[in-house]
Amino acid sequence: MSKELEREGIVVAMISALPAIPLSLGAHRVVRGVRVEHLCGDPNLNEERDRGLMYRIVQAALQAIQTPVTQPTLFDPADVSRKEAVHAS
Amino acid sequence: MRLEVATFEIKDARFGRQTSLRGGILELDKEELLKPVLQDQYVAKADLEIARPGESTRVVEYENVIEPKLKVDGGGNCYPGVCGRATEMVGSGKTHRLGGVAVVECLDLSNIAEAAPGESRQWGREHEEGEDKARRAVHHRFFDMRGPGAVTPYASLINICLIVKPVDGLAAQDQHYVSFSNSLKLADRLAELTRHLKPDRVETYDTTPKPGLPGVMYIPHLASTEPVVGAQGTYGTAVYGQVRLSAAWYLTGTEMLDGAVCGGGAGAVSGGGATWRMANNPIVESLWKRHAREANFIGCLIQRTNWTNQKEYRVAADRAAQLCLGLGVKGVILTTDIRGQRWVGTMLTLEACERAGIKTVLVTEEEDNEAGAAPPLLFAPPEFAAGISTGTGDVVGFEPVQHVIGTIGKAPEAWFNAIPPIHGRYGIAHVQDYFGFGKQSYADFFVPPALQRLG
Amino acid sequence: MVHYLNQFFAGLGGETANDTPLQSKDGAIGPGRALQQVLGKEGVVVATIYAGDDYFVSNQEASVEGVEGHLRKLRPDVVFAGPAFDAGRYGLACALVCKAAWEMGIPAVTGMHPENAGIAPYRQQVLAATTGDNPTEMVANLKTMVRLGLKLARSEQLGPAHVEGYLPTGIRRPYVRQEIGAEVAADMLLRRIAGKPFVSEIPATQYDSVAVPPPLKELQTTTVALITSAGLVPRGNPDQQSGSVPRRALVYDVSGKDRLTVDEWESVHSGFKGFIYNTVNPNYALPLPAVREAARKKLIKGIYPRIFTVVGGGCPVSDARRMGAGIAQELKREGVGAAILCST
Repeated sequence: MSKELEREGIVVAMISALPAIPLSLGAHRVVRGVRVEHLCGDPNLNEERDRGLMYRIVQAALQAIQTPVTQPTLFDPADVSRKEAVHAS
Repeated sequence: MRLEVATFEIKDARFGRQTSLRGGILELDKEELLKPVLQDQYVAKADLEIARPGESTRVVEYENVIEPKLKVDGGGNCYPGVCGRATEMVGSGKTHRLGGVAVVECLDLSNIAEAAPGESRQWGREHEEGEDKARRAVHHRFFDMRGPGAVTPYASLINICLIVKPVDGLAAQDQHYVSFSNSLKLADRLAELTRHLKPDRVETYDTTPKPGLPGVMYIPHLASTEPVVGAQGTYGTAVYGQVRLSAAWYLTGTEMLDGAVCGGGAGAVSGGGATWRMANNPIVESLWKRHAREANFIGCLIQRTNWTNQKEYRVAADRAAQLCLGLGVKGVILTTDIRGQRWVGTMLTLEACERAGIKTVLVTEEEDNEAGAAPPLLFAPPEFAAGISTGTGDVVGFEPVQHVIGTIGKAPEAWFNAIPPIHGRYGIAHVQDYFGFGKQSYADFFVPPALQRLG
Repeated sequence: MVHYLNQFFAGLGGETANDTPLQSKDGAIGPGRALQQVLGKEGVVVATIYAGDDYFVSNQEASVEGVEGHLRKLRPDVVFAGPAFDAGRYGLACALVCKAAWEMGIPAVTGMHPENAGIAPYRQQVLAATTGDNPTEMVANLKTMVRLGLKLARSEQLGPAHVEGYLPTGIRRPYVRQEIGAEVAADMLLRRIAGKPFVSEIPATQYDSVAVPPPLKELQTTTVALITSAGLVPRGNPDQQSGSVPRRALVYDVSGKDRLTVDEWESVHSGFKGFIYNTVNPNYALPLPAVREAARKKLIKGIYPRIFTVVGGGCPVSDARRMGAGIAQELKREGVGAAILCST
């Protein structure tokens, strides 16, 4: 589905707990999610850390949207620094 | 390890006055056999019926098909660990098996109240309505004994069907425990009849490798029901009774013959009852055929899937490749037991093995071609080179039948009717030939453009 | 029989004769003589059509018309093109010649290496014997081409690609083997270990690739759409989302909503996967609160008010394409430049 969006020039960041699948199928910007049953967070963390994790995943997605890529690329929320990684400049 | 397998070929089974085995004919005293089942406090109703190959019969609501086996020597009991059975290691000594016959576990859940909604929510059943529910029921839980739709290996077995209706108020997992445990006991009872009889043939399986031959292994990927029933669950494909998301278990080829991997059921996440299909796994048989002749069958690596997180799949895949390297394995055959996102596990194992220099062959059903618009596999790494396709799971159709077995009392009218063809695609689980039982396959064909346009 | 060749195999030279215009000569030329030998009494190469690879590829329409004109006059029973081995432009020319012949009702066969890029767009319309990249194997390759061509001429049924020795077409149909799958698998494994050649029943697939959209540097002026394949729907599933075919994408307005709540939403994705989304936090499937926070911090302009929800599991490719195209049209219309797609 993401390829149809990309075909129209829409920049897509796809969040997946099993990135091998979209990467193999040619999705260009893939963000590593947590688990299939809780993709954008972790119910085992306390509320504050869970919120922070969800935000970092979204930051990774926004970062991916801003990054030039030439082939299917994986973006890991763990690489997003705890400070503001996406600048409003 | 060395295992002698003595086969007692069953020519027919019928109800009679005394449960016995004589001249290949199995006589069954229905009352005597049902007695212990009816004494089970969790069984509300039970019945016993026979379905023979070629009969106009449809077996429905089935969960597992169980080949009666008896350990006469060497320790342990066949189908170890499930339903509270002993976990002593199997695969050596001597095992008796009944050939051509099976006990079929049928679980009648009609009008049964299941435990608390929270449980059933995990099974996703309450979301299935109308077409989805009908489709799932039809595709997962029946097999025909005759006709174009008789496409499962069970169609050539004399099936002794134990139909169990559990009491109200059990959780889904416990409902299955009731039918599976009683079916296993029935299979034991029948196998016991062979204890002092002379078999039709004896085959010897010796794992000793022959020097100079390359080592090969079989790596089945079997989905774990742990995310649904928990690590200590009792429902799902089990290795010595373990359904959990464990690291891969190394099993010898003889342990496989004694049913060390069994369990699950038609409705499980793990894609169907594994018992008969794993004890009679054709890949295990084809590797045994070549053992100490063209290759050494080092054994099997039971790989679990359902990790739900790619990093864990990656670890499992790397471990499998490392183990194979350590054992000097040169080639592996890989299978899955469900397609969809759990496919990732199989693909990562394939990738890890190939990168470690271990040659792979993948056996799998394939996805719907969508008239040339869709690829046969959900995805495959660049390292994929060798695959065997067992088709898309499509079936040309099922004829109407005169008998339906699997419910207490007469089955609903709809089961007697012809069932329309199944268009094979992901989510359809009728044929489920994950292990290469059959000759059906798919292939690329050149279709002249004029014919393509006609559709 | 008519044979198609490029300038090199027609004996006109290599790069220098690359722009040779399309023309036809009576009888066989160059490797056409080997083709005639292989054909023996079964067929006569009455003419050879040839052109420079560059000429053909740069003048495709005219070249194809030219080929059609020649074929209309010659009325062959079969057209043989190449083999082109791994030469891409020659491969493209051969593919187009064959395609044109088929469309005129004339069976055609070419020969190509599996990775010849020229045939890639035409795999389903063109029959190509599998060759290597070595022209010294020409005769063996021609034998395969002739075998296939004669079968076609006699209106005989062609077997599958991996048995008959032609390139996989991408069109797959039922096929019954002599042996069971497990036996074929064991044999194939032993062949692989011994380094012997083998043919997979499942071809390695090329997935169609899409040009990567350039990044959006100025996110603060961008509206972002949210899409989930976790089957999130309002509790009670009022629009009856299900996993049946054909799939539908449902759309819900989340204007003014800061987060999704368990009371108002549920996941209809089958089985255990939905449990946590249903009872703990549906935002795990669509991180609305975090994207709202990004908007508040002015990292993005805002969120597109409509969220799209589909049931992802086991979705047929054609359904996924259709739904994706539908969503893409709407987003394009509304000037939405980016999307976050949550895939379960």
